[in-house]
Amino acid sequence: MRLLITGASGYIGLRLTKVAIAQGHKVLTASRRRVMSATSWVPYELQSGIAPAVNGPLDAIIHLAANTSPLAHDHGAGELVAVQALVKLAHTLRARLIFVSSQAAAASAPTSYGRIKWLLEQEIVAARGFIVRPGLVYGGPLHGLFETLTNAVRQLPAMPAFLPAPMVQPVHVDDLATGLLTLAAGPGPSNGILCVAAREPIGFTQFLQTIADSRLRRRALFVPMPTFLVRVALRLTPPNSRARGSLERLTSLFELCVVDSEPSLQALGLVLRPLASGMQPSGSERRRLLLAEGAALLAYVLKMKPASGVVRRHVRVIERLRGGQALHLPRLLKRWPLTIALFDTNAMAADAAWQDEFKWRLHAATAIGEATVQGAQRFLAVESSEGMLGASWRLCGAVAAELIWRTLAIALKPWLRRERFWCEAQR
Amino acid sequence: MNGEIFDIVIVGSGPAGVSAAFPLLEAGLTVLMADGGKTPTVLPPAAPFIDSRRADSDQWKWMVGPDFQALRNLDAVSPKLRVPTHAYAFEDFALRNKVESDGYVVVGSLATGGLSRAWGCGVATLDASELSAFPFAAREMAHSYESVVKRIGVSGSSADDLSAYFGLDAWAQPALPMDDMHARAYSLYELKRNALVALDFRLGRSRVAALSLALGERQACNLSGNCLYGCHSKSLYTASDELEVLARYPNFRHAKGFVVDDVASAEKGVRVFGHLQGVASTLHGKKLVLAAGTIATTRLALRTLKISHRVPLQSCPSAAFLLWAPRFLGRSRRNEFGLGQLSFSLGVEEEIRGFGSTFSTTGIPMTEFVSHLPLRKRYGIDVLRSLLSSCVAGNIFLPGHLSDATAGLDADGSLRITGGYGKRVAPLLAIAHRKLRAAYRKLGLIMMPTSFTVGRPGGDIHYAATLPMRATPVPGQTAASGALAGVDGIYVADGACLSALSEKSHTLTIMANADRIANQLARRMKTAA
Repeated sequence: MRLLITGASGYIGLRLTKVAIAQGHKVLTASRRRVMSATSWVPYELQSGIAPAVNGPLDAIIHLAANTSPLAHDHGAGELVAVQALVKLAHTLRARLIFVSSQAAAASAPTSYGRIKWLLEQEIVAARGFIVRPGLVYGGPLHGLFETLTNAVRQLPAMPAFLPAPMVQPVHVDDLATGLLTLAAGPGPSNGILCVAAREPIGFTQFLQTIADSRLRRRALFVPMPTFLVRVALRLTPPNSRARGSLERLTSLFELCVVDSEPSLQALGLVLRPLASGMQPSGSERRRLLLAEGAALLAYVLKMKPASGVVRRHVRVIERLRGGQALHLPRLLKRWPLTIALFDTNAMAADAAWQDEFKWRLHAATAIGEATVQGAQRFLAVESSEGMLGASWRLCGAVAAELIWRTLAIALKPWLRRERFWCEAQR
Repeated sequence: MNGEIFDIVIVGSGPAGVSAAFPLLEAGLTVLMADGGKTPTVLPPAAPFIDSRRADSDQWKWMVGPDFQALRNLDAVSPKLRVPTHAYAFEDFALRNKVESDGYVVVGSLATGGLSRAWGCGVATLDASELSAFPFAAREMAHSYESVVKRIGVSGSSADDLSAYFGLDAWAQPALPMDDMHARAYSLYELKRNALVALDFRLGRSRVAALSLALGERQACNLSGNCLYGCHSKSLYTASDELEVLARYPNFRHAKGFVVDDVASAEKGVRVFGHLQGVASTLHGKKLVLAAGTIATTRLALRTLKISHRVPLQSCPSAAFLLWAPRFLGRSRRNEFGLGQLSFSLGVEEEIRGFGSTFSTTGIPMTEFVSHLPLRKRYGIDVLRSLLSSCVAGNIFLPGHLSDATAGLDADGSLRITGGYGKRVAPLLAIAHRKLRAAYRKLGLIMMPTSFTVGRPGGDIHYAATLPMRATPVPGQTAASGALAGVDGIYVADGACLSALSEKSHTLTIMANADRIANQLARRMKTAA
């Protein structure tokens, strides 16, 4: 497909462009500043109201550009003109027009943000375009509201736990991008409005908690805070201050109604990733577990902390040759890779299939670990000449260690086979 | 090439195909050579092995492979089959050539240069008694052995106990320097020669197709130690290097990437049906020389003959082992020649001899050895790190007539290989194991317990004798001229037509035989013209 993406330098725009290119689409980006050198770019100023200068055919226009600055409120007039220009462009080029709006959009929304979005949506609906209302967008590189929230969790000594807890329906930015591209290519639903958001809403506090747990891996302290205090603060803030914009967006969060996203997700054939998984810095829990597996196995084999490139290579091996899922390793083995010796060569695990796969992966880690500069030191001793005495000493040491672990493994067998020992890994 | 009629079409560009091409081209005949055309995708290290290991952060590419080839074939016996730089040579062979097996290791190549892209470079001639199984006078081979040895370059010439056994010293280059462990073992052999000969164990330098003196554009071996991965100086012979020489003949054409599906003998010549880069295409020739490698050639021959019975397939039962030189414990690693340094000939039982060589272990990934140790990986590595530098690896091959494998066409036209080795093989290898342990003990080398590993049938890759040359061939056999009985104009020039398979490295015999067949064919065609 040939796509025009406005607001391509924004949070969603950047990821959407990346995913679109990865899928092999031709992307023309339109934004104030050029961000990706790999794509063609046209300058685009939303407030100018003039559509981007595009020649040649287009399959779809995805309009992401929005005015987020609280200081330049013109009640949406500028944005409206811009949307009208895009409608005209889409019509001329016979391109599908997709407008990324907001869950807050409503005729009688309590915030001007929500009311403006609704206003813009009307133009799109009239032009038979499509509207996508994403839930709370998160994940990927820090950007936009997600960045603000993550930084708040990182920096504030305590986070407010709003009461009553506003409910949010998160969506990973890459899932949203996939949905948008599916919509750009497919037939699209009849009513023209799609809600791309988690089926099950979660409390806003829980969302922040997940940022702390999975993204930042740190403890977060929550202090209950009644939402009316925020509203009072909003009243007291002068209309043109910077704080007002943030407060407005916060209050718009409180007003969100839970939407039924099921039909939209089905229409797009979209399965959203679980929140905890999407919140990982790498975007997936699966990959994090694989990296942990690789780091443990390689540290066991190499007797040193493996370089990160080697660990990633282990991940690629498992992805290419073994289906890409991490093997459940008891936490003890990941914490102290030396204890992998308990499961190496002995059929210690009650589960024979696990033991076989473990053996394969340990062999793979050995081969990958060997084929490195670190590995050449460890396996070939290229940097040292140990001489006959040194070699004898090492041999005795290795045999002694082998015997110790063999004895330990037998002694600990009943404990190692206990279910609790393994359950920890699944948590 | 489409439509043009060549004097000779050769299928395959491995050692046999290339050796057949030279005499035909010399005689002025037009030759078209068709091959799978695969070329290397992973380059071997440019710097010497130890230097590369010490500094090359991309060493995983040639050791494990960008596509993790080293982890894909964990069942294969020989580490050679797992080396990423050679993976392309074996790739797709069984699939494209429609070969299936039950437990028998099938290796073939669609690469330019065929299996010589990844061989051990072992060479030997057959003596008169071994050639008595062949339907022609032994002296017919002498000239061909000589011209091939001179052409490909063989080193190892030495006045030792195996000089007559190899039978090629007259034309060979001097031997490459041995490493200290091999040198000591050999000096002990000279001291204890009588006791060892009483065991029917004879030791000598390995004769290998690796240059100790420069030959043409190929340089002499500089002991960089990268033999397993590929030689940067082109010291190791590979048939693909000869393609450049062949290309200089104006009467030579190369149909690169032409995978043959079928061959047929027609009234006025032969036709070769196949796919050139995926497009169905036909080649025409007056005569056809099959040199696609024993297994692929067998399938093409059986198909064109419409033979439904199974034919015997020979290969050499083999085993590998590890020897330890205690006096060298703690020896530091250095770059060493990675192929055979010393070879032995061992009388295993009456009439049965074994042949094998020993190698430095430096170039072989240690992961290969770690999995054979009854130790935890972490401590297995510790042990090998200290022990392996004072070890050499060895192998042994037994004669091919001990095989009981057969090959035959399935209903769907694919070649199915069944069977393996006969009942005698296990006890024979056990005897060989015992004798080798005793012999090497005298040479200061201890056979590592549990290291003697019997290879899977076919794992030696010495496939041969499916369409053997016989004095009065029946369909499914070949005449002394290589002509396939039952059809006109089709000749077999690779391992498939060997009348017998001894324990010796058989590649040189295949090449010399191809040279002999091609010389005769050229003469006949000139006379007919």
